[in-house]
Amino acid sequence: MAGAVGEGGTAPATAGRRTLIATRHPLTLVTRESRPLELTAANSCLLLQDVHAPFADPAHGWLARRVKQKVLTREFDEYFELLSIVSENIPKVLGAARRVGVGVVYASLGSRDDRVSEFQRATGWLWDLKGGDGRYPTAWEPAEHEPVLAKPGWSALSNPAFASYLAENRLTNVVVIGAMLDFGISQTCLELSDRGFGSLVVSDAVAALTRAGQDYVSANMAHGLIKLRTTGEVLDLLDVMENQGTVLI
Amino acid sequence: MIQTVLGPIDPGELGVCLPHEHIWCDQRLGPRKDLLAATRPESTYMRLDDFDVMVSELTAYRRAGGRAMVEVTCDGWGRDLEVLARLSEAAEVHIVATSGFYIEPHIPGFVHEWSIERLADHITREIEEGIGAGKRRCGLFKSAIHRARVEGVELKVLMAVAVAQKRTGAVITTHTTGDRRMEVPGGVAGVQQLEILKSEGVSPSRLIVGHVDERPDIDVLSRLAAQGCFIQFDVIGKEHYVLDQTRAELVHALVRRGYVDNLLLSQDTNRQTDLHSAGRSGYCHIFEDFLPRLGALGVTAGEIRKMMVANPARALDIA
Repeated sequence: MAGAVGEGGTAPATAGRRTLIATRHPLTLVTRESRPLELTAANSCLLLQDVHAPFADPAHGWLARRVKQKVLTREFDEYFELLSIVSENIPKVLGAARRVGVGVVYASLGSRDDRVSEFQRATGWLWDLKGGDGRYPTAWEPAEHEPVLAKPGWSALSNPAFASYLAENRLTNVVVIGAMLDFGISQTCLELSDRGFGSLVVSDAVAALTRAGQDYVSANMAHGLIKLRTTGEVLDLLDVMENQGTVLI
Repeated sequence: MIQTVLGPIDPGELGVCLPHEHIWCDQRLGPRKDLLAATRPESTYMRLDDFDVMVSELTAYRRAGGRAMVEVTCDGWGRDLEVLARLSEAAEVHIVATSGFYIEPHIPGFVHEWSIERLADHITREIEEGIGAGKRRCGLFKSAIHRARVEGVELKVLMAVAVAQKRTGAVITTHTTGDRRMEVPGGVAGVQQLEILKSEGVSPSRLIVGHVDERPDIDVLSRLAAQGCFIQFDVIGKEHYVLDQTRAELVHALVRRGYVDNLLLSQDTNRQTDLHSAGRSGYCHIFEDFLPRLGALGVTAGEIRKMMVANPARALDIA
């Protein structure tokens, strides 16, 4: 048996000093389990974050143009691959939310007036959402009655109008889809959690800049009041909500 | 008696056994792939389908000391007992095949349609009569969840498995986690599954709670072991969950708490990138890396032998 079983005594040469590239999530090992979220059409909304042209138009958006100018296309290959996957799922989730009567709200980095934030100045992302940078791909254009909020920072809550929207509509849960998972969506969900709101992140309807970022941020986010489900699962859940009025996640 | 794909053997013949591995599988065959994380390319899916490569890997395993393996791929994503039989003969490794079903994305359509009783009859036949023209038999059942709760078709499978377990005596092995984090006590749904199975009259001693080392909580594991379950550290080598050294220290602690008879060890090898052909250790990682860690911590040869030989034999024994 090659002495493999039961002859211990010395640790393997690699023990304790290997260089790890694997993604681990140690904090999640010591945090208690989280309670389910109860979603109804009345207490939930769908947030589409940063799905406007600058981040979500792979041909003519600001990011696409900029990386080409800077000869950085390769660096963003994974993002645009992820975006292409996400782009198939966003309309599915959006369509289902509209069908079952869940409110829809958009939050997009940029401004609609002359005021820009220090963050926008620092990044140089001074997008005027009244112009071309405020466009959305046809598949998920806002409907006329759906709020479109300009946000001056990464989080949707950086625009106080979003918190007001939640309060005025007595919403307690936010289903989140969109782009810039590892920056804006992560920030939004953590802040929502801090404020006691539940978040349901649709794991394949959010795009991070890299695949590693997608895995790492998704798994780190999913604690406390933040949950992850795939598009397929969310569509099934929304069906249950439609039929039964409520669904536990 | 332990039911291998080549026929029954005496438990004393089993030898060193990895009780949760894949040998022949293809996750791309799952009928509800939309329930999986679609941002992962198909190239990362679980897939082992090169006969010659698998003979080589199993042979390397035998040369390292391995004698037996439980193949936990279920119907729905490539289970093939005829191929397993040929692999077993070629590599001279006992292979035990699995009845029951994996997580919802891989559950065949008929499971949604059939009653629990009909499903129980079906999987009972897979243990008692065999599958296909070759009539090769499975040796255990599997039940799985991919959400934080046991619900829907996955609950249906668990109920059917409970019925079939009581008829046959075969052990149940469980998949207790998806990629969810922190939604259930102790990080795995083994406790929920156990409670349901107990309420259906299944003895905890006939349950292997799997994947406990993806999100290990020693208090939960101790409680499960105290009830008589097998607790299976079966993703050894997958350090994106926890470090192998953490696993070793947890196993050591559980042994010192008196649970050595409840512990099983395995790797859940399931991708070509895990194999020697890809520069990795294949099914041999446990011998080359993990067991030496246990030894260094003071786990004795006899205790390791229990976990690698005696416990799998007891678990797989269909009385």
